[in-house]
Amino acid sequence: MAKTIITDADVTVNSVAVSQYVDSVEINSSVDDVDVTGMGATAREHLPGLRDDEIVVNFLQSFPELDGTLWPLLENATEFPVVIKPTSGSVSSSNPSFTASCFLLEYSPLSGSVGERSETSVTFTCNGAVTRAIT
Amino acid sequence: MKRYIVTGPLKVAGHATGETFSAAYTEEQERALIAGGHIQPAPSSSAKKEVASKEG
Repeated sequence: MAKTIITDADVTVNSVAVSQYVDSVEINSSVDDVDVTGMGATAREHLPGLRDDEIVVNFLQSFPELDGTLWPLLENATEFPVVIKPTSGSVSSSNPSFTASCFLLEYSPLSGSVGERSETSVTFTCNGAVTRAIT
Repeated sequence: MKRYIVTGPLKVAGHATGETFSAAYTEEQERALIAGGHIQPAPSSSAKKEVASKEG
């Protein structure tokens, strides 16, 4: 099967297409590891607990386009959808969409040193689990 | 569902600048999109007619 090189990841935040400002993207889905070991056990026992997802995007900052998208979401504590696909093509089994309803709880609109590109790393905290779709 | 017009340079819900579309945003989502300069509520068809009649 074909391997993947990311060159065209598709990212929308609150329905705004922001892919052109995306340097890197990461979807982190995890389930709490709950220790349910009882007395008399000879080894740890585990059960999956609650899901805890987040989406981390490193953006190349742009005023007002990107900042104008992100700042109101932080300021108004808005819950908004984030949708990510491996490529900008249609959703399919080889190009699944990952969708989450998120909050933006931290945002650094400006950071960087003289002569460097202005970047901002944003963590979208998922309110619920990321859902994956292939149609 | 409300109708909106894309006013910023970035695509919104897959629509480019000047295009209209329908969406069911929450009040907060709509406020954020308008504050970011991405969309404006589209004039209603009756408002359009009113403008047209004034211009006519």
